Amino acid sequence: MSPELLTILMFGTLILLIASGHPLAYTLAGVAALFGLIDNGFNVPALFDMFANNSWGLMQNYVIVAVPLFIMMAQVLDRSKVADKLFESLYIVLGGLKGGLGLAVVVVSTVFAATTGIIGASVVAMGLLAGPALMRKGYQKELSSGIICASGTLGILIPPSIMLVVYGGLTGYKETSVGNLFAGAILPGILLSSLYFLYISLLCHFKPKIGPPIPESDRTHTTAQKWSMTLKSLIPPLGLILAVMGTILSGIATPTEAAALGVVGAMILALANKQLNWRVLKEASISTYKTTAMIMMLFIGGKFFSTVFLSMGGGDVVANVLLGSGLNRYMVLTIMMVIVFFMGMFIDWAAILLVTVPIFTPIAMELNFNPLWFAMLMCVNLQTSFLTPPFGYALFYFKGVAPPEINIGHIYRGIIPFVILQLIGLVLLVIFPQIITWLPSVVFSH
Amino acid sequence: MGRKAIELIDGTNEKIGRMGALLILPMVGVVVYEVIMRYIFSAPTSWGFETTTFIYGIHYILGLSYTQLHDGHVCIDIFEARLPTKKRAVLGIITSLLIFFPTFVCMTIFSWRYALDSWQNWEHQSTSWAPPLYPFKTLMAIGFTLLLLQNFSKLLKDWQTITSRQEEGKL
Repeated sequence: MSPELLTILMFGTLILLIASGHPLAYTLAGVAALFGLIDNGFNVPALFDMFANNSWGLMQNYVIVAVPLFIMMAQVLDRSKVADKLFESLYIVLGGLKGGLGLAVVVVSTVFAATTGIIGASVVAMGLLAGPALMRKGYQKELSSGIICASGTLGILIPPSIMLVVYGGLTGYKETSVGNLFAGAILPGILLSSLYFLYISLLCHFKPKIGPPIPESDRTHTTAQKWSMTLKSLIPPLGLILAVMGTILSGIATPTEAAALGVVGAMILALANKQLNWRVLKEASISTYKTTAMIMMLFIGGKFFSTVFLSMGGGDVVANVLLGSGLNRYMVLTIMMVIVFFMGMFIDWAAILLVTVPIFTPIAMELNFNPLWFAMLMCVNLQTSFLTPPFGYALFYFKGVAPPEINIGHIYRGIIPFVILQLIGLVLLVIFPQIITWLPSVVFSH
Repeated sequence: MGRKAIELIDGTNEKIGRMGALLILPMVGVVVYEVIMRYIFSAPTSWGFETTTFIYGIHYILGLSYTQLHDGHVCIDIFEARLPTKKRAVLGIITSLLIFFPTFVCMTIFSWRYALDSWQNWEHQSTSWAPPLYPFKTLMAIGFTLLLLQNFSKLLKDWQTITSRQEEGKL
């Protein structure tokens, strides 16, 4: 069979079998096994020796050690009540503005995104904390859902981020080392967060009904009180951000080491809030375990898939179609981004990353795109995948904890403007690549 | 007999999972110890780096079956979720027999062979600390075996769901 036909059949089979509802990771591995055997003339030992070797390689990957550690940090932090305190104070500080509570959610989520690398915990935490508060103050259901889901997903983009760790661990290029990716993601993360902030302010300015300020009678705090509350609640997370990101960006610690320090830091914050005990540690460990193993299973299946796909020449087929089409390089980029965006509507980010990055990265290099810049576009796109219906994980996490009056329809409608904001952000990053490349060039110039 | 097998497999993986999950704590400990030794005492260990990697490897490879036990492996169940329980169980059995089992029976066999090779060659890491690799490759084989068993347990459960009509009648 020709590589072209095999490529089409392999992707076709994958899509068909994924729709059957079988776990994604097993399906990736199964499709890899089938096509690996077709490609190598049904030499079972050769294929599975290679798979065993692949799996062993993943058990030896020091970069990915940061994944469980960052997840653990988020799990401990989530149980430390640090977010509750920050939200309580920002609720008072920003509550008086039109759309102020929504803005408080964006700020708290952004700060927390800089301490956690996953999204489940932050969407759930904000859903529980801010969801009822927003409903009580008469915020529109759609807007409230959109704010919580969109800002909650910043955690996967703003470093530390397990998505960036997986990306760095997968590519192994110097330009896309985890340190570089972390530095590169900071400004794009802030850009997106600012876009949400701006949108909510403008919308509520013109339509105060959907995001009213809290009534005068509730505003009893003096300016001095507001300042001291904010500072007190901001110092713990900022200290943690400094300890983790500071040590990485200054080159003192590897991301893996910084992640372990982050776990200790999160434990200290939990201890300070009297939330640390054996039960909390055990629960955090078990939640960490399930998320880690889920990602690693996808890593195993994705590794099998991409190894077989590339060895049977599928990568060249895709490259030839895209590069040989005579399209201008930004058109090729757009096609790749549209593919990722579309996959994001159905498939989990890790699976998309593990399947598309090994195929797309060589194409991006061939087109002379900066690999770090390209990586960041992929990651912003993948962050959006948490929000795009029908399969946006953030939407489901939020539905699980949302106040009962919010149904999935409100959430689907509410997220659309934020998905558009994501796409605007993506376009801005294409037009102004410095947003991505400037910080890494300054930080790692030595 | 099916029920006993399910209890045995689920019970074993639950226990292993609860212990394996706690490996995150020594993982943190070793990395932090290494950082402290290097930056504060300028005396980096020869074993910190590899020990960390080994703990992480064991951690997740033993977690695969635990996550399966708790249905934690992501899937796209847009269509599946709309089916009635029994049809879903039938679909579960078909997809498992078609996709999971052929692949992971081979994977398990060959990971045992991979481990055996390592024992036969008395394989050690080619670093100054030179830790043995065969125990960890054996744990990889054990991890895949447990995952296989856990999916077997799921198969039995799906089968029970399909055949449960008579039992419901008795109750």
